[in-house]
This record gives sequence, structure tokens and C-alpha cells, in this order.
Amino acid sequence: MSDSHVTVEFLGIVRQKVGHEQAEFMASRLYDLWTLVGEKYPQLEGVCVVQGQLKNGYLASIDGRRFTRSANEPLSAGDHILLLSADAGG
Amino acid sequence: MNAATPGYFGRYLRVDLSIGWSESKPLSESVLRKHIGGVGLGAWILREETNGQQLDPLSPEAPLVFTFSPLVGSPLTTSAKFAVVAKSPLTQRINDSLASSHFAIAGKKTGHDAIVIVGRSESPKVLLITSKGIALHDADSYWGMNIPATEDSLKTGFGSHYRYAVIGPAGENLVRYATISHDGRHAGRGGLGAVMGSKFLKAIGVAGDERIPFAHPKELVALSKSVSQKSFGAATEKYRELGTAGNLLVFNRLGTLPTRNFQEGQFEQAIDLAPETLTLSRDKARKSCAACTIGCEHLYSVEKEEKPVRLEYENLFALGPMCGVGDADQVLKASQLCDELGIDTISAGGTIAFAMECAERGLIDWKGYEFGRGDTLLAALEKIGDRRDEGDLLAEGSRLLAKQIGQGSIAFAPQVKGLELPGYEPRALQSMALGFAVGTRGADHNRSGAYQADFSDSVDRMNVTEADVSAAIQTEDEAAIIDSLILCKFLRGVFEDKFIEMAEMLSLVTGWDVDGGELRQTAQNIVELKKRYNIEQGWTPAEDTLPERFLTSALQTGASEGAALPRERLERLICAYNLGRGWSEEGYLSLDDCVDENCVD
Ligand code: SF4
Repeated sequence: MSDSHVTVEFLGIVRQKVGHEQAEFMASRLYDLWTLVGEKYPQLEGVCVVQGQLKNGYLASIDGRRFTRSANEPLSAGDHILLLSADAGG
Repeated sequence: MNAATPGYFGRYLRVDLSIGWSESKPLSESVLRKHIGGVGLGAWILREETNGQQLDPLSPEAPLVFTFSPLVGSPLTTSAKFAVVAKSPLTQRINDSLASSHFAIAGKKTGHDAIVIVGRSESPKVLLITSKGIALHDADSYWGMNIPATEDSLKTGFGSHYRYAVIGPAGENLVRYATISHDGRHAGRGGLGAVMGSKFLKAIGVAGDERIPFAHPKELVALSKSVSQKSFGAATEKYRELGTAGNLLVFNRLGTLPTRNFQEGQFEQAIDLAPETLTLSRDKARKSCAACTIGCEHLYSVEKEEKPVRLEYENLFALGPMCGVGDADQVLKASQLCDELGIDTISAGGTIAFAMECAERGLIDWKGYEFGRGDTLLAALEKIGDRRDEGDLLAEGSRLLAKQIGQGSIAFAPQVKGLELPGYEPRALQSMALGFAVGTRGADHNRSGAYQADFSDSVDRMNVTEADVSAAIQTEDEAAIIDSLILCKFLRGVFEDKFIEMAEMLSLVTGWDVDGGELRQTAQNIVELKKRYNIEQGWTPAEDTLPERFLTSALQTGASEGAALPRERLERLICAYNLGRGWSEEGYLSLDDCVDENCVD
């Protein structure tokens, strides 16, 4: 599988930690993406992502339409991957 | 005191305001074990006190029930809460609302597990309750005061050793969604403030000094320390860092943020209202309820030197995007006004947004009722508080307002059973849609946490199927126990198995040998008890639905574009929910409940 150009959007407390709204990556699966995210943002490694997996309490959404936690999820060029807290209590 | 059941006093106080009389009534150990406290015990007492009658919720005979829980007074974090239960003047069905803080502890220490108010005074009163008895004082000088002024004056008049639950002008004027407030928190939904106002009761002050015994105090302290420790972790971080208002931008991005009376799922000015933005330009403070280690309350200044305003997601959505208002100052002021007048923000915002849509469609001729008009929003709230001009109609809620307006407007009145929807777009969050439809108190995100399934990878939130309804049942059961114990729902993320861990808490407090299985059964019993009360009050299956708008039109914009919930799908979900609960397809608990001769089990 070849790498695709994707955008990660940081929402809620994840955005607070990162300090900006989004970042671009080249990755083929979520596993690779979370690994890259953890490397680029050490403040997220062990907190939101850990060794290519999402930590409990966090969730990814593909283009805002479908939630997934699977690290094997394949990525397509132009995907927007939302990274957010799974707790929607209001 | 009932020494046999630690955590409880084994009795409730019944106050009849018509004759100024109170008596203590026993609560058996089996009743307490089956209903725990909070909403469970409150529902049981309400049904007992109602005795099968269909009372007008604003009549003197209608009971208003305050309940505590076995955990109140313990060192368990977030346990200082009380429930208020009554028949709602907004829905004509059961209503159970929760509020927090010192009123719960001081009230329980009067030596009662619950306080029931019946009757009506001849003139406004303040009811003071101590361990020794009750006293009724004239409240003429407080009548008409807003909530903060009332609390301040009561402290000056009767002392700050009392903790007060009070109503504002909205409760006095029988606004059908008036709140009961304590220390800035509200038993907010369903109009219980109007029930209190109908009794001419401005405030209840409680001050007790009874000791609350616990069965295993050492182990309870150890468990409490461990839960508190976990409450500092990742599971509650959202609440500590941003508060519930942190939902705003997330929901907006997902296309699930109700906008302009649910016509859209995305609001173009959301960024201006988000806590992430407000933090940059305003003074900010953080507060907690008593005995809470999380502290989710985030307050923002409106103007320099003014008291900061508490902002939560539901206030923000209802007074902002729902009314199309994107000016943060106006939304904060509206929120403050609701707090002062004692008005439920969700119902107020929903009803005003509905009126704005009616005006824009030309169904009513109300000046200024256009989406985005923050000045209209603020003026409408003032008028609702004293039922002035069109405020008198708005004070009835969107269902009755739609009845007045007619012309098919009920199709887009944002309510279920009369209760206005909270900030979760049901077409795009379809587990929650089911929770809204079947909820005993109407459209509600607190008694059904089905949105948790929608915010997971276990369901397709825009195409939920019968196979997914177990999540709605499970989260409703969890809420029934959390709200009966009573703990804060924002703590739920710290538990690995909620039923087992909550059973341990209850066992350490009471000495009962409760396990997770028993709590699951208790949850089902509590849900059924509320349903049974509703059936006795005239519930029919036709009430378990959503407004026509959600069943006949799809979302047109945002990430949830195209999300639709056809009527047949919702009906199939409701049927699966009812069967999953062990009820008839229509939702009757047994054949005996059905008054329709065509009813089939
Ligand atoms: S988390 Fe918030 S609502 Fe819950 S008890 Fe604490 S301060 Fe109160």
C-alpha cells in the first residue's frame, strides 16, 4: 500500500495540547498515521496515541462521517482524519 | 434513625404547606434497596404519594419530591447531589432533575432521605428544615427577586448555615420550564420551579447536624481516594480543561450541532462562541460543586468587573446556534439571564428558536423574531420570566405554543412529550434519536446516554439498526443507577465496569451485599417504575416519537449531509427497544396496562 496525503484535524482537548487546528501527513493506514503523529507531537504520545494505536478515551473520524479505532484502517488521498475525545457528554 | 441501614435514615419528611404541618414517614429497607435514592427513590415516593390519581402538576395536591442518596455525605467524589421529582407541567409526565452541592449534604443531615412537599400556602413562604423540625416564614419581601438576590437575602435574613433551594421570577410566574436553583446550579429540566411556585414556596432552607453512618468507613475512605485519584486522569480531562462547552466545535465539525431550530447541523459562527476562543479574550474562572474533584464549571466574563457567567454546552447551543445568535456577549448575557430568572436554557432557547422559525415562515407576526437577533433573544427571556406580552405564550413551551399557532407548526416544534430537545441532532445521532423518543421525561440526554454509542465505532451513527438498540438500553440503565446513587455522569469514564464498581460503593456505604447483577436489575426496575407512572398518567405509544421534521427531511449541510431518519426506521428501533426491555412491541409493561382493545402483546 502506498502512502496517501491526509490531513489530521485536532479537536477539543487534543487541539489544546497541540496548539493548532490541523497538520498534513503521508500515511497508508491509521497505524502509520498515529505513529507519525506521536513522533511529531511528543505531547500526544502516551496520551492520545501510543505506538500507532489510539488510547482509550480517544476516537478518530474519517471525514467527520465515520468513527473508527482500528489501526488497520486504510487511508485515501485527501482524507481528513479528526482526532477527538470520545466523551461527548454535555 | 434506622441504624440497620447505614447511609440512610429510613424515613422521609412530608410537609403539607396548606396546613403548615410536617410528619416523618418510614422508608423500609426493601424499598431503599430496590430504589437506592435520587431518581429511583424519588420516582417511588412520587408514585406512592400520587396514589394513581391524575393530578394537575400545578395543583396543591401534586407532590414535589426532593431526594438524597446513601452516598451523600460520604467522601466519594461528586456525590453531593440531590434529585427533584414531580409530574412536569411541561410534559404532564414524570420529571426527575438533579442538582449539586451543599443543599444535598445539609438536607440529608436533617435526618431524612427525602423531603416531600404537598399543599399550597396562602401566601409566599420560606420553608426552613432542621433536624428538630420545620418553620414557615413569610416570603413576601423575597417574592419577585431574582435568584442570586434571593439567595443573598436569605443568607442575611436566616443565616448562611442554611443551604437554600430557591425559585426565581419564572417559578413564581409558573413558567412551564422554570428551574429550582441552588448555589448557581439548577434542577433545570421539566419546570419543577413552577411546581414549587404553584405552592407559593419561594425557598427551602436546610441545616442539619445528624451524623450519617457508613457500614465500612475505612474501606470507603480507601475507595474514595482511589476514585478521586482516577478522576484527575484522562477520562475527565475534557471537563477540566474546556468544560462541556468543548463539545461545540466538535459537534459543529461533525454536522451534529442543532442550528436555527434544527434546520441545519452546522453553525457558521461556532468559532466565535467556542471556549477555545472565549478563553483568549475574557477573564475566566473555574468552579466545582461541593465534594467534586473534577470541576467542570467554566465561567467567562461578559464585561470587565461583571460577575463571570457559567457556560455549558447546553446553554451555549440553545441560546447560540439554535437561535442563530453568534455574538458571544449576547449568548453569555442570555445565559446569565436564565440563571437569574430561573429558566431552563434548553427549553427557553428551543421555544424562542421555534418562534423565530414560525415568524420567518410568516405563521406569526412577532416583531424582531428572526434568527440571529440576539436583542430579540434577550428581550424574549425577560418577557418569559414575567409572562409579559408574547412571553406569556413562550412560557408555555414549544408544544403548547405550536398548538396556539397551529398551521402545521407542531411538525417542527423541537420537543418530545413536550420537553425541548438538547443539543444533539437526532438524524445524525440515531442511537440518541431512539433515546429521545422513548425517554420517560421526554427528549433528554441525561436519562439516556445513547449518544455514547453514536460517538463510538460500534454503530453507524447515521444508519442505526435494530441490532444496535442494546446500547440505548445499556446507557439508560447506567444512567438510572448513576442518578439514583447519585454520582456525576462526568465520572463515568473512570470506571471499567460501572455496575460492579458502583455496587462496591453501595455495599461499603450500606453494608448490603450488592453485586453488579443486582444493580442491573435495579436499573431495569427504576426505568420500568418511571414508565409505569407515565402509563398511569395517560401515556400512549404515540408519544414515543420525534417531531415530523426529523422523520421527513434530511440534513442538507455539513459533515452529516444527507443524514435522514425515516419514520419506519425509528419505529423499528422503538419496537426493538421495547422488546429488548421485555415489554410489548408498543411499549406496555404488560397487557393489563393497555387500554386499547387492539393491543397485542
Ligand atoms: S464534574 Fe462538574 S457537574 Fe459534576 S460534580 Fe463536578 S463540578 Fe459538578
